[in-house]
Amino acid sequence: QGGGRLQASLARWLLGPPGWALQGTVTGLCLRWRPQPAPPLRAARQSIGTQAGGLRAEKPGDDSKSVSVQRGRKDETVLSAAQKVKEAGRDFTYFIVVLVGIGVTGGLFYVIFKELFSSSSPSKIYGDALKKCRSHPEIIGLFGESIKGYGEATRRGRRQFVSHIEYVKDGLKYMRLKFYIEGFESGKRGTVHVEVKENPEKGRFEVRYIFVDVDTYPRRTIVVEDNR
Amino acid sequence: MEEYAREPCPWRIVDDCGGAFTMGAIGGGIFQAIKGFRNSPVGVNHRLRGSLTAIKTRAPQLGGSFAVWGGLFSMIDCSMVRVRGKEDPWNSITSGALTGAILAARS
Repeated sequence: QGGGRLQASLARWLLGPPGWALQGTVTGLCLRWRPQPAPPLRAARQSIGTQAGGLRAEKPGDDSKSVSVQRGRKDETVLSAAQKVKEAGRDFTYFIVVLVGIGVTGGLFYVIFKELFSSSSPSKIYGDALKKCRSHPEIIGLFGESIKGYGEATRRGRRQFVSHIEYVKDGLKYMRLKFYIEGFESGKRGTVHVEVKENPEKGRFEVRYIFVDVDTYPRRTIVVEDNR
Repeated sequence: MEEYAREPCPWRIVDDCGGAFTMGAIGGGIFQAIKGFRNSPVGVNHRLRGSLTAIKTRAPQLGGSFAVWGGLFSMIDCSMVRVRGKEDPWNSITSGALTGAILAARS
């Protein structure tokens, strides 16, 4: 009787919140206890029966209990076939959604990295050309030590856009850029023209020429680099 | 183009701040109007008064938070332009990151 009560309390604990999930295990345990002596088993199975009765409306009694267990098993397999199909369909649509998301994110990352890091993007070429201009002695002598560079002004007032043109000549890609530089203290302005040519072996763009049109009264042109 | 003969930068902060506030106020107004309309007792008068109250209380809050975001972003952007000396996409990226970090650290 004591053992029966212990098994009953154990069964009640097992049949806690996820009651329906553990019925299989409880009835499995029930089935496994069959070879044991009958009286404590009967008490345990009866208390388990009342617990399960709250969830499945099982009748007390051995024969109907075994029958109801088997009936429960059959109902489970019939439902799970249709349920399996539904689950598979749902998993498939989720999988498709995940694939589409990964594709969009990958495309986004590719575009961003190409714009920022690839040597064929106008911003990168503009950055390199500006660095070269800043270290050129003639330009430093004319514009001063600190030089700022900017591109075209968009409607909102931001000047990040650098005007560029790409063209193909003799099967090679060229790109021309134009941006402006200005000295912080001197206030002199200049327009920088850059042309890059694609190097087919390395696949990167190399500078052909950089020259600066200075905005002074007798127009001066400073050649920073000339590889023509 | 020499239309912007003056430097855009300090004025851009005010510009962006105001633009962001307007966006937040209008968007918040529409959203709160619908929400207040739905969360009011039955009757058109009640619903209209409910949506008006919701707009009056919530829309400026949303506009204010947008304005803080926009103003902070523009301030950091202009500071970076001043420090680096060139206008780049990197400025916008770093400004966005710093703005998000500051506003997240605040809450």
